[in-house]
Amino acid sequence: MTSTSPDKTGTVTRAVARRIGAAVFWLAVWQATALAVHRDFLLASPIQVARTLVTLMPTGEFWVTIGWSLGRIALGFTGAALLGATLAISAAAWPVARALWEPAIAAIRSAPVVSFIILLLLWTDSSHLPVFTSLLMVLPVMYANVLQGIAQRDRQMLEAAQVFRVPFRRRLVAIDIPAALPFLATACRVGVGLAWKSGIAAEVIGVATGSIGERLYEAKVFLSSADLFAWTIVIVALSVACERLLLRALRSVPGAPVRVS
Amino acid sequence: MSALAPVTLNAVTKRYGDHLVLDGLGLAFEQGTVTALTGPNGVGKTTVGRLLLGLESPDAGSVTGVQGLRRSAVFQEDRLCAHLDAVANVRLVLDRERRSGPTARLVAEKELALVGLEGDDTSKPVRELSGGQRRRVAIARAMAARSDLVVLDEPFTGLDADTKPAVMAYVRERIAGCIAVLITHDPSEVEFFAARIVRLRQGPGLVV
Repeated sequence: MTSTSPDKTGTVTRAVARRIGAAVFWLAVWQATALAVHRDFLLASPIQVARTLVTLMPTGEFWVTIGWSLGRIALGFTGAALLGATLAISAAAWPVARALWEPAIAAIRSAPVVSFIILLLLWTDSSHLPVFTSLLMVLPVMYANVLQGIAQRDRQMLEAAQVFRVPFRRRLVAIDIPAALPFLATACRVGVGLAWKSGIAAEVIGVATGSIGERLYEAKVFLSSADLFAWTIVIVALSVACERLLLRALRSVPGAPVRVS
Repeated sequence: MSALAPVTLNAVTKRYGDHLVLDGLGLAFEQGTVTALTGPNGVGKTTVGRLLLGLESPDAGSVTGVQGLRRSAVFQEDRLCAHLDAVANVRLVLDRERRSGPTARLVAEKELALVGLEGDDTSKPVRELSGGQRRRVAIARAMAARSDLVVLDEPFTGLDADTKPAVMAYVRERIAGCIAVLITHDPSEVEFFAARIVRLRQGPGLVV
């Protein structure tokens, strides 16, 4: 049986109260600024944004739009995770592979995201743009973290596995993956945010039909800051939800530390 | 078990950086004999064990007779998968025939029971076990692995006085017929295993 001490309950309550207080403070600042500016198209108030969200949410189009962007960005992120892990594993195993991958990864990491978006627009249509853009942005993060996770494996455990002739697949599950999990969690935290930011930027620049990016573009065209803020809140909420789901999934992997975040 | 050729260190020299650990060491290990390596800290006892296990290569000289041998070890550290339970740790080292299916669990449980670990202690992550219990899991794992060459590096450290004699008897039975190397500072362990004693000393040569 578990019990929570009054001290601990009090500490948690105070922490929650502090967070709510901070949120209320910033909403008040936003509301006051909106009142001072007094131009809806320049800065909508939080109340107007909330009204817009309430209007949007019951419509089927809202959820279809979310599904469109979520699907493509998730596809890009998954592709980056698989490709990044594959490249990192091969780089750890073969120095030649590492020598080959490193310059390409460094170039992708350093190049501005808009350069990729424009280049991809030349090669493909705008509906594929968020997939490839988020993939390219997340790839270096995944590669670097998985490689670091591989390097941080317990040498003594690897020696034991060698002596006992533990087969590769069993070693992977028992030793390699648990060692890489904290680094994978870091990559997921950073990568999910990057995937959403770059994916949405690509949708806006490519004006991908039916996407959240197109809604943002329309908000700019029609000078509707309420729509802009409403969709931005949706993007942030989706990004946070994806991150939490991924971290929860990682925590359920056998061998995951109690906290991988 | 068919007869095994002796494993031999031939004029082996090993250094770590500037530190010379073994200097032209020659030593043979016979099947069915427990060789106890003793001597002060830093004379290279563990290094000999690592050479036999194939975890180190000599800087000069050679190690012969180890080709194709199945090896097993109790390391100075437990070297267990902390998130796995005791049964899973033992199952990891079982050979192909015993590795899969329901028999694998039975084999592991039987081995653990022989070192006094049963019930809940075998099914919770080993990080939740006491130091002595983890040590016994490490010993059971090494004994469960079918092997021709066994290196025991201070294997009984951390065992309490109640369990140590039974565990030592279990190990003695399991390693009979193997090429066995016991690294220890404890004369009673040497006596218990009726071991051939090799006392290593600093610098060239050794005293047997």
